[in-house]
Amino acid sequence: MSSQHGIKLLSFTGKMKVLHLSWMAFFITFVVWFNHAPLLGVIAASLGLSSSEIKTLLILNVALTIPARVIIGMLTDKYGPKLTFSFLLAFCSLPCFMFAMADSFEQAALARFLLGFIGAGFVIGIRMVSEWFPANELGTAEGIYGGWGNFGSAAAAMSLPAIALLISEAFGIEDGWRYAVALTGLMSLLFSFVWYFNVSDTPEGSTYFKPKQSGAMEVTSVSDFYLLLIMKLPMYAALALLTWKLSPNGVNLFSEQVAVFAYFALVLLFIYEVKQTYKVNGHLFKQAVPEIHQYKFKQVAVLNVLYFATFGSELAVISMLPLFFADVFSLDMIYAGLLASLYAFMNLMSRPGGGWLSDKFGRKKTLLILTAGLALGYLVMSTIDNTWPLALAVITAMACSFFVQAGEGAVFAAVPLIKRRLTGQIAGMTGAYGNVGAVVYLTVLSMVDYQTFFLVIAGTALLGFATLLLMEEPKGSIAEVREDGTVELISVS
Amino acid sequence: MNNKNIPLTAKTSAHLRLCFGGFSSSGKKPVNQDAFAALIPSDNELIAKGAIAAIADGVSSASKAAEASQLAVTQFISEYYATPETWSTQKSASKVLNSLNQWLFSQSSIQSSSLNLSSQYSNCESHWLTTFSALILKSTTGYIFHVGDSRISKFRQNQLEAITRDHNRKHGDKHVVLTRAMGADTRLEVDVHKVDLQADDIFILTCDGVHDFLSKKELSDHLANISTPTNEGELEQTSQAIIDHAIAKGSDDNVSCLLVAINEVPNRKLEEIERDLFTRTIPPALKLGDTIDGYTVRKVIHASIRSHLYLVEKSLVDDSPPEVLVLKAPSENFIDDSVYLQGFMREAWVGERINHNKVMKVKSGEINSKFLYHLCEYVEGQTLSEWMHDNPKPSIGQVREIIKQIVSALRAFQRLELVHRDLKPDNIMIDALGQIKLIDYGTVSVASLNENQDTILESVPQGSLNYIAPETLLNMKADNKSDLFSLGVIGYQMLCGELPYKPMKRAEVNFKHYSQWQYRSIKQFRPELPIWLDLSLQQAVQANPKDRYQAFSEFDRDINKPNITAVEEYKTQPILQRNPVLFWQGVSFILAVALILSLTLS
Repeated sequence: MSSQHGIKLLSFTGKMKVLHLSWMAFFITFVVWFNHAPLLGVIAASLGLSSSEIKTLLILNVALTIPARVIIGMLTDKYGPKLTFSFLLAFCSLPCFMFAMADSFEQAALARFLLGFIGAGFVIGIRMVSEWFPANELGTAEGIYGGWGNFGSAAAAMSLPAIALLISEAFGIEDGWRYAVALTGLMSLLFSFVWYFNVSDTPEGSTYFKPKQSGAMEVTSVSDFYLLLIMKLPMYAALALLTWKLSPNGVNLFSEQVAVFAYFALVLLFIYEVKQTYKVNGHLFKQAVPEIHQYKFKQVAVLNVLYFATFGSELAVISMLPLFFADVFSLDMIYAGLLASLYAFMNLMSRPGGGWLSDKFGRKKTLLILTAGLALGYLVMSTIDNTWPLALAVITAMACSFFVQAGEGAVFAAVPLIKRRLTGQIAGMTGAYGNVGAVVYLTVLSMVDYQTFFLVIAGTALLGFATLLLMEEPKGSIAEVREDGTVELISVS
Repeated sequence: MNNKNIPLTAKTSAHLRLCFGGFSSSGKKPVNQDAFAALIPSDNELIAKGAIAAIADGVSSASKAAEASQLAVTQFISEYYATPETWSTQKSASKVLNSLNQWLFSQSSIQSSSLNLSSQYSNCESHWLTTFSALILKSTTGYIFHVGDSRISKFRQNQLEAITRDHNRKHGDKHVVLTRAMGADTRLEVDVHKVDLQADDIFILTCDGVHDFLSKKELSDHLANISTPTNEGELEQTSQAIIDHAIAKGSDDNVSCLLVAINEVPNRKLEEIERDLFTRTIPPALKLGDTIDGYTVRKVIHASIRSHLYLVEKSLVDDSPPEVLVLKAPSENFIDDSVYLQGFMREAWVGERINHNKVMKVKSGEINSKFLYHLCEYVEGQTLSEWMHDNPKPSIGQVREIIKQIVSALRAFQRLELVHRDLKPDNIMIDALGQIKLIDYGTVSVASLNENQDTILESVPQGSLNYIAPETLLNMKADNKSDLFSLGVIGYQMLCGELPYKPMKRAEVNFKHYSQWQYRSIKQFRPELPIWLDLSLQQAVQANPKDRYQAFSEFDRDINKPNITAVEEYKTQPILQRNPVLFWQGVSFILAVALILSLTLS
């Protein structure tokens, strides 16, 4: 009658092995997903890309992730995390190799678009970790998973330019970046096997049958039903924005007909989703849900908006920060990549830290402070120009990233407290908003200068702060452990 | 009758509420050979066993008629409540009726060994014979057990309807002969009816002195006057009025009438039942040294996504060594899962009622604790899955010994009409001396509670992957044969470390038919094992419960003593049945050779 308990980071057995392998898998998806960011300068030079084409690549990279999350979520339901992650890692190495061998903007664009798929890996690991960790350790475990995995973009930014340079010099090849990118694809391919042969979906002997999750999000009142539909719109709006960007009105990647067709498909998809939502929630219109099963969807909506501002801005910023430093301070790409990596470097600590802070000081208070901090942070970043000392600019970026990533941790710490049974669906929707944020911010970036870009993020963070005031402190457990270790009930009014 | 302290549902629950009132008179006869009795037990017992009303009419030609009827109603009630609380109503009642009948009959046989069974009962002289009709009211169902010509009728919405059929035959005009009675034969045929209960229903139990003389209309008129909700006084008055009326109408027999009025039936909606389940708080994850209701955590034994186990000590006032127990609390993950919480509470309820040295004992914590947890005895040793890891190729003798002990524990479940449903190596502890103990029966199915309206229905099969019985996966049904299946899988796994069927990868029910389970002979993993053992394991894990051993004893016997006939039968089977794969491989091979030959020769 004994088993491992607690989170022991140095252990590599049982659930800790699963956690370590999960963050590694997620880490690799992030390396692959952002392997272009620190190399953009050389890639642009080698393929002869314009500045607008570069920014288009950045958007394309995050576009497919929005629908991919839904698909990956369904695959994980059906086939379990073990198979799905293996599949994703192996499958996504292909567009990665494709990108490494691209000879034109069109080829690179297609590869980047397909690579958006790998960004959906997050959901798989979250599911895996939740099967292995008891409820009281889950927050920390998922913080480690998310934070350390996101660190993958920093690792890419730190190492890839150097690797590219090393290969160029050692072998006298011109396009070292191609080998660096291909290397990440190889990592992904190899790790898909490591993953497959080392994990299992559930701890041995404790696999139980669970009620089938309904496809669409469940809400518990009629007004929440409409709110849910409204909250679905931004995802379609982001995809529509992308279509517009790629149409002749934007970068002219595809024709007017294709664009019209895409708009039409989006409308159809939305109608379909409304239908699905009605199928799951239609009973609301006939009979009210009993009070004990009710929850407030506005809580979800607020968390969505916050994740839009936090994770969305993080994805956007790690895509453009190397370029930003190189442009503004006229640095070479390796150096710029290294400095930019410091932004994502903070992930190691801040994301788990955000969860810890909200455990300690309450969800809403923590979120308010962190959101205010990140609004301020981006406001300051918008004032960075070449008159700034470089060190100060880097410190500003790091300070800002602390609030961003701690905010992400705090958002996900609040997710399980809204409605336990729907945690998976709420997490899925919140995560999707992060990707919507990335598409929106990067599209904005393609139209405006860096200053305005940061100001826009700061603006949405302020918006997030305002919506946060509408959130109610999620009631955690009503039992409390006193100083002397006695457990007792505290009254909740 | 003992009442344990764990409430099955919280105080606010709507129980079945009913009241009784009756009257009996010897009428024109000198002695009263009728008897009736009724009992409403305390709430906890009312949930598990229900309330009873019974009436009996001693067969007047039998010498011990009055004694027989008296004994039948009183003994039935007291014996019924003495049956295990986990038994279904029908099982409890039929056991009691059987032994009651045996006793009555034996009294008759002692006194007259020359009883001609085929003769009419009216000829009997010195016998314990009686009619018997009982109504057991439980949750929203009434269970009726009936022998003879006393009668139970239901009065609902001014309609009187007889539920039982009189077991008598008319001979000529006046002469009526009873065709069935308690105490008449060693075999007893009892009519069993189930009726749904509704608020304001009135059940009327009468003997022939009443219903032979009053028309349906006359009885209905009496019953229609009863107010709703009613009380015992009113029911008694009405009974008396009915009896007076029957006597006035010329009844020449004993006259008895017992009324049962249903004032309330448990009709709580699902969410009300769930709210009760959610009233007790799941304790937060505890750390070393934390104290809950006076129990101090000394060790965290286990934490999973389902539950938390702690080793705890109760700090006692005196100097006696503190009691060491295991505290089990559900995981917060189930804070809104009513099926799991229901199972968790059942585990404690069953744990208090099952008393077997191979089954872990469970006791409730503080009676009025606001927290949801229970305390289990501390079991030394390792789980059977750890044991299997340490003992990769045990001898048949070792495995046999373990299986025997598990069988004995499962028999305890069977005797109480319980089905474990989640038997697996992780739920079996084994100590250094090889003694086993079943732990964790949070998914136990309880016959007596399954009958109740308050039980939340499960939406997915209960049990663990690879150990769950096929019929549970296919039809959501589980009985003791399902536990036998799990036991067979465990036995197989102990012997060779593999599973008898291809392991399932995901908790997904994609089976449609029993034929999808294809047994893998244990000899392919451990060739040295004897064929008879393989055959007996195969029969224990037959996918279709019809083909499986029908009782634990058959399995136990076959693994103890080689079943030679089965081996012989197996040997005489055509190869197609014995080893279909080999058969078809052989056929394919021959065809392939023939094809090659024909190609090369042509």
